[in-house]
Amino acid sequence: MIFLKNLFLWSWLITLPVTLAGGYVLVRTLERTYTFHVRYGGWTKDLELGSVARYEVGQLANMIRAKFKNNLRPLDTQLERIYLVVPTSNLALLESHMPQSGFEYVEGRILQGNKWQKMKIRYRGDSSYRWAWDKKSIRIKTRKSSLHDGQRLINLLAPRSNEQLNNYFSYLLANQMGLLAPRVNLVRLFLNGEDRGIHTQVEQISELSLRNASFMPGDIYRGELLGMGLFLGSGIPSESLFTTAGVWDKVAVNNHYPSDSQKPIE
Amino acid sequence: MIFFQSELLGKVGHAWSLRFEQSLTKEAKEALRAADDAGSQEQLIGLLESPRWRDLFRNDRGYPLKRKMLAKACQLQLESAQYELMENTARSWVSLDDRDIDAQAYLYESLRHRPDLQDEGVRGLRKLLNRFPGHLLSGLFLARHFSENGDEQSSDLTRMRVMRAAASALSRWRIYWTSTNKNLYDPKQSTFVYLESTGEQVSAEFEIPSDTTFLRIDPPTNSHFQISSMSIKTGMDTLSFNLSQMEINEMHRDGEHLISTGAIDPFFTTPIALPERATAVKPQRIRLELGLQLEFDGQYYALADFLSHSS
Repeated sequence: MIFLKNLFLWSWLITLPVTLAGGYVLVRTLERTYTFHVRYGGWTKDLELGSVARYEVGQLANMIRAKFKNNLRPLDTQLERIYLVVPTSNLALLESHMPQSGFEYVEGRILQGNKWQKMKIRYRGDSSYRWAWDKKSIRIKTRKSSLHDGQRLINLLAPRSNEQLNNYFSYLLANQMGLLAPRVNLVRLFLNGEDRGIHTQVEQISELSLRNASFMPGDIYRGELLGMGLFLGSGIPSESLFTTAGVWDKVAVNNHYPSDSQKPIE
Repeated sequence: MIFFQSELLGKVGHAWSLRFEQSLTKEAKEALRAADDAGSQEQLIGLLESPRWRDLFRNDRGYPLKRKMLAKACQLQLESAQYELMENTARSWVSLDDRDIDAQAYLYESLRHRPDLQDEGVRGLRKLLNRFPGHLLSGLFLARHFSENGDEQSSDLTRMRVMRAAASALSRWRIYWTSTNKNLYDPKQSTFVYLESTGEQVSAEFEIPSDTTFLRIDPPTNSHFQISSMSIKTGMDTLSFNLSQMEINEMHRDGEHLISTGAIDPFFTTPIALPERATAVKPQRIRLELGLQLEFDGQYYALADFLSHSS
């Protein structure tokens, strides 16, 4: 009887953590499902309530495991580390109406050598796997006077599929073959001191890419007719990307010709 | 644990999104109906300025409805010559989505009616039309500009050019088929076809298996048209279809016509029974014939007049 009484008395040791964990998972599940599935209308199976609930349970388990593991054994990595600091209020701005709010730059700083240099940061990507989950793909824009490895626009990508190194190896191979391709690196990202895991650092193609590769001057065209790239109301079918010059613009301009000239693709 | 009850959670999640969507649709429909019936924009603007609708952005579930309301508001403001108000509405629409060509066209049209900004408006419409030659709204506004300035020749030329470009964009369709008893489609069982003129109608030839049970017909995205008739010719046989019986997606019906007004994913489906279905399954060549009209300035024009003739 005394045993049962003690068991009841101390049962809070089990029920309280379970209730707290359950409440935490429930709130996060409802928030994420509302934002990305109910309001945003994300159509992938991953964003449905059941899948999100399973994801949140897995994330909670991961978080607990990582806390224990990191306390026992400090992080040992040979990858380049990127340290960013973004004020909490700016992170809140990014998160205020996801995913759309995430695409507006906010200010922060990046560690270069021993100096914290100003930079701007936002989320990036067209699909939910880039920004709907805890590990997000990010774009950084440095100041002109403090480029990062000669780049001003840098993408720090969370891999889109289980084959996490496919894109990294493709870009690496292209670079080793001497082709004009985005420079790529595997990096460990720290945001406000928190380890955000391994990201694929990919150069955002721009005029600097041509300059760094000694290909100046030249045009680089950009075009997309899917997702956020669609021109609503245009009468241009989304499959007409390669037959419609009007939907392309330039991210690098050959200054020997007018900036709005599109002769090569017309 | 409740978090692993996939089926139950799936149903709850589905009901949640459905309820959310239905409540937005109800509000938008009421406001649009009031605008259609009374020509009044007050309810429309009131709804657009409410916190719930103000917080809807591009790609949100309710954004297509918001876009419809913004277009309606601009249209009403244009008809009632409230150009400053129209400029404000169009500017807020462009700020929501700077890749929305309709929004830009309304903005430039509002500027075109302002004496101090007319040049900017006309320049904007020209630029838009150069970039998107089949954009009917820009073409319409520019044609009106020429007409209002007594240049009927340029007006007619603009109308003709924009309709030709729109017709060309409207000529590539996708056809899906299935041989199951369900209305489910796989991209592997589909083909792209190009419509050609056959006099008063347009048509396309392609092959489908003789045991096909359902067809799904996908017009291009962003297109404005109506279908007045549909038939399929196979050998000596002709199958006629009742358009009012079709299952439709992002299209609507007007009597016996199916209408698309610039939707992103319009399509319609129909059951089909080919005459040779009883024999062994083999590819069968069929000709799809459509009575198809392009919508421009509230009028419908036969698409066949703008396409090349089939040989």
